[in-house]
Amino acid sequence: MKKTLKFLIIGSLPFLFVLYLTFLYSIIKSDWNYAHKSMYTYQDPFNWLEYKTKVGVVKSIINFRENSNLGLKTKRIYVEEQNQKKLLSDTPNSTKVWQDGFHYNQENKLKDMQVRFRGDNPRNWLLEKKHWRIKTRKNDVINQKRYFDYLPYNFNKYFSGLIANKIGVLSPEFNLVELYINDTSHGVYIESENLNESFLRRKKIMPVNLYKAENILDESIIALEMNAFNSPGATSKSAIFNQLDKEDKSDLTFFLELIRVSHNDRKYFDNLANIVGINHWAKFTAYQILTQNFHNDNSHNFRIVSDPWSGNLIPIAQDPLIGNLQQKNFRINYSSNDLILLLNQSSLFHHQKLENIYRILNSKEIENLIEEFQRFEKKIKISQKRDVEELVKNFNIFQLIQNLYNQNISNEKTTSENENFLKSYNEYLNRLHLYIKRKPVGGWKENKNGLTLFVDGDLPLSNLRFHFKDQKPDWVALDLNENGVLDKNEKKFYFSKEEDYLLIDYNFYSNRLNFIETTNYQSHINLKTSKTRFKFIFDVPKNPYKIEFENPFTKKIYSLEKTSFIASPYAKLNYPLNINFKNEKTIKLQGNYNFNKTKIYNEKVVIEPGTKFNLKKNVSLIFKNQVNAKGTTDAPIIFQKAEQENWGTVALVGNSTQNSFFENIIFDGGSGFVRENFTNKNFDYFSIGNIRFISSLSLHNAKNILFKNILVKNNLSYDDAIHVIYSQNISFKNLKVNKAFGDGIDIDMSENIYLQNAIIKNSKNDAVDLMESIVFINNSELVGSNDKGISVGENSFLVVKNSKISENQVGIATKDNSYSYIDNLEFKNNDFHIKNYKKNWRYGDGGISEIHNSIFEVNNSNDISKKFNQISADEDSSIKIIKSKIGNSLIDKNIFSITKKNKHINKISKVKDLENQGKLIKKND
Amino acid sequence: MFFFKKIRYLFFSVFFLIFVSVTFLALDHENRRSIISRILVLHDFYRLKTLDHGLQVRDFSILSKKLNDYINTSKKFSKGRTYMLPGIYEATELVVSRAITQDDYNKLENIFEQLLEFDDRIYKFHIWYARSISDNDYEKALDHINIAINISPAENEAYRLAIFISEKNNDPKLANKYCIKYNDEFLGGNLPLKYGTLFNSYNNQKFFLRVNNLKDVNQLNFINSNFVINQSETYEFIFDKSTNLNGIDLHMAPLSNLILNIKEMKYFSSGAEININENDLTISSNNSYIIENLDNSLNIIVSQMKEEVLRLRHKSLENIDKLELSMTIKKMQFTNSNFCKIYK
Repeated sequence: MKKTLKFLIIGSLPFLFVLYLTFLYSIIKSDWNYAHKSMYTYQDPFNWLEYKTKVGVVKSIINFRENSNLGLKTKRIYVEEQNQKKLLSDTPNSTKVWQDGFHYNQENKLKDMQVRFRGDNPRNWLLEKKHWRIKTRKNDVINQKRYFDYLPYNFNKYFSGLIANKIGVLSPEFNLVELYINDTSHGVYIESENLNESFLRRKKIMPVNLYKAENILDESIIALEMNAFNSPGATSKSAIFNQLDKEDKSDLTFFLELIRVSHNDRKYFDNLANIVGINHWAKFTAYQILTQNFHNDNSHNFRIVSDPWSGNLIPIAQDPLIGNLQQKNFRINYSSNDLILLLNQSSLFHHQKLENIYRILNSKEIENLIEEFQRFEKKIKISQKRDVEELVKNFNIFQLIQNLYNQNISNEKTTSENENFLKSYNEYLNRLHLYIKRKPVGGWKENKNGLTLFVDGDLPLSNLRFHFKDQKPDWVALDLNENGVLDKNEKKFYFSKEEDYLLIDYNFYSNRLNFIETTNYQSHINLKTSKTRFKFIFDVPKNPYKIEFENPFTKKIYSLEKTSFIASPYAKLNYPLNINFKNEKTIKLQGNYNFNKTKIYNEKVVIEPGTKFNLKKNVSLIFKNQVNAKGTTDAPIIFQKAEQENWGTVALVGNSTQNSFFENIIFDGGSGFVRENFTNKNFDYFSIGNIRFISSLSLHNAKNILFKNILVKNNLSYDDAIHVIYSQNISFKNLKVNKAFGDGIDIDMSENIYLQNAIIKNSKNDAVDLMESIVFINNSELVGSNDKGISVGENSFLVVKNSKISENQVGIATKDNSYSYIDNLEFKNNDFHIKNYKKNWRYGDGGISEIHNSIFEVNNSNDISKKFNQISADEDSSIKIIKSKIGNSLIDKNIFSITKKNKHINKISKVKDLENQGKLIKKND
Repeated sequence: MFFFKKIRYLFFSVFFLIFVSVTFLALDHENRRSIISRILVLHDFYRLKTLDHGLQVRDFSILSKKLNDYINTSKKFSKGRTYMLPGIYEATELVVSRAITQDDYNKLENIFEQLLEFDDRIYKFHIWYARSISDNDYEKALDHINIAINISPAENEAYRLAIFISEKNNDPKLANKYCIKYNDEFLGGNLPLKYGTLFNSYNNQKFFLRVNNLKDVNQLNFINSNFVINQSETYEFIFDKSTNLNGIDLHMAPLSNLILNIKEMKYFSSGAEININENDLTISSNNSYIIENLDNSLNIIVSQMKEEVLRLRHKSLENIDKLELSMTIKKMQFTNSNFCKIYK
């Protein structure tokens, strides 16, 4: 017995020894991959022995008694062990190589997919809970998403992401799921989306450049300036604007140039503020302050959309979190990148930022989210009981064994941490709210010929009321250059008849200065507010006995103290701000005009009947304010070529153009206008160089505009005769378009566009082309297009009535999750009358047409089987024909999609509801 | 017998030593980290030292072989880039800094090709490769030059190489095209491998101003600003409190050699203007040079890739709360106007 035992012990020694060495080797290898192998990857020492042991123990305990309670929504993926090993075979490169697998899609069908790890930090793939990215097949797109990221649940990240979603900051969506890999729960994961072209489309942004800078860890570029605001080479594209070269970054460079010249020049800064999409940035920085999420800078978590159609540069909240919540310091002026640093110095931006914070806090959006989360937390707890990493985090073997018997393997510590955190976060929001609602800091003193006031801190003195006793001055003026006399550009303020005080309806902010107190490079700069003075002069040396001011957010009125002080002058970008300012200046145009260079109108414009604009090559007229152009039948307003070559575009850009009106206008010989048409980088270049115009008549971000009796002809070079993009409520009545170079009218990402009595003939491409738009056409003729009469594409909705579609290659093509409601149309001599199909995989669906009371002329009228040759739908599309005639036969017929029948039937019934509610009869009917 | 016994002891000792070392490395995570990190640093240092002989005798075949060994070692760990890439970059940069003739570059062509396979986003990899193939495929070389320019537009090596190629092909138009581009470009920058500059990288974007405060000469209070290249610009500096001063320091770390021409210094004290004339200034610096022009204006030549402090001093002024500094900053030309019509 002794001998046997001795033999067994000695005999097993080599085996145990090899086992021991293997274990040691695995630890050293893990650590090598974790901390040494990847470039520029530094990690704190990590105790693998302890970690692996804990994981082993927790896994055994979880497996010991199976827990099948339902928690969060599950996501099941299947990846063979072999393929999982391949992902780790040659880190970090192998982690990005797609491996085959399967997943259950939303219809609960097992489908092929590919999988890889996400991110460059070895933590993402060497620990138990890995960061996954999956890619479904193109024919298995889920809600327009093909790529999904699964990140281990982190409450902080998840909640910050939810806030970003809620308050409308451009950001990926965040959902919680319980991830099962090969039918084993891996605990709670955040399901998020990948930033790519589909993301943009889902967010109603055209497919444009989406820039990314991630110069950390293995992705760092050796020896290159990392700051994306100074180094386009440090950026890559996650989505590409397909009208330019893949490598072209001129859109980004445009902004980098403008940012640079804006630092010391208010004129350029105002341009930047106008075109960069300051509202997006104000919302983004408000989000940063609300969540104290400054986990992004010039080179890390930097994602921006550069949209040449709106002209905006839009930030994306990437990799969110909730940062350290301090008692008093809200880091209102903390600037995480160079653009924010510049914007933060301006009063205009600062005001919008505070306004956003105040609005969000008042709306209780975040408090509601907290309540929603608390209701949802039970499910998370159930799923967390199967979460190895969560249990390893606060490992307690006695607790685990004790809980084993009552199946309560949850991490109560984490749960109470979350509760405490939410409580302290709520308190933080309340403190921030109070901070914005408090009395702004300021004072005033008399000086030689007026007075000086100062303001300090983050809040402004707003709407100053100067109260005088007996003798009042006639006027008070802001002495902007502090020279003690009234200059031309200095505004006078007068008493109104209604009030006994003199109102200065401006906001006065203190300077936010770009100081540092170290020679170490700072990626984030906290701008320093300083006591700032503003001087006023009076026509007579008489000072007010009382000055009152408002907090512009609460509208509460305070009295400004008279005191002695020393303060700095206001900085160029921190000018006194009148938020109600509107450019009401009107320019009247009448007669003949010859334009040699592009003209931008920021003022309101009235164009008289008979006015002719003779425009040279590429010369364009850009209107940024309301236009009232009313020609007559006898004296139309004409935009025409000055010489042989085509002119550029006539464009209406932005919200201020709303309520414009165009009547009896001829656009003859336009083309389009792009940045490259500028011969030098002048002020105009920096005013519109960010926008791409590809038609004779362009409407970008316009609203409520009426066009009546319009003729567009002889356009060349770019694309469309008319291009409507990101616009709403645009009506064309009596529109004629002849021989469009591309599409007759191209409508992208727009809503409620009306065409009434439109005649669009002989377009080189489509007569009407829709993308992500809602369009109503009535009483129109779409004739002789080389491609489609109407192309209803990419999630569009069309109502077309009482019209004639003839001699086109395809009459109406409805594609990619679009819907056409067709009533009383005549289809004649089209190669195909109706053609529905799936073209763009991103939308995961074909098209639906619902056709009422229409007449289709057919070529082979006697052969019933051939009658439908000109009406076709692929397996993903449907057509419903009601009370219509094909040739001489009256017909009611349904052609339903093979793959999406139920979905389409549902959709048709929803449109039926709209029809019953009278919503398909629009104002032009 | 005694010999075999000795061998056995030796064998067991070595075995025991390895066993203990592996155990120690696996179980003591703190020491494991520091030991491996030190070994890796030593390895990088060793690789640089192995280049010494080749560099001294200017034998680029040896140097190419040494670099190739370095690359192959990296590839043993992973096919893609590993922690060794910065070391390989540094070693190659050292070797290239000694290369002059086409033959020198040709011997390194294989290395550059492999480096591009590791990472094609690196500026110098394209420049080096373009230089090495410029003798027999200059169009491909120009393609790589253009890629390099897209990566870091304001760095000068790409343009110098383009001029070199234009010169060889007797193509002044091409030279002119690259000259104009160089003159206009201001973006990009060079991030030193081993340290960060005042502005992280050498770039033509950032500078800051320090006031020579008479009450506190050693105060560290820097006001950040941004260059605008090739145009006259008035830079505004607001002080957070009134200051008594006798000058300013301009701190910069430019990517290119710059010519700085100060036009006007306008101080403000409670709204009152105080102008400082160029003639009233004394200027000193760490690395720059000054040319006094015939019209009494000054051109300050600021050297590229050096952290510079320009010290501008004048009479003492009191209670200053603002400065407007008007100056023009231009990139210096790197060829003459026969090549670059823009300089005429």
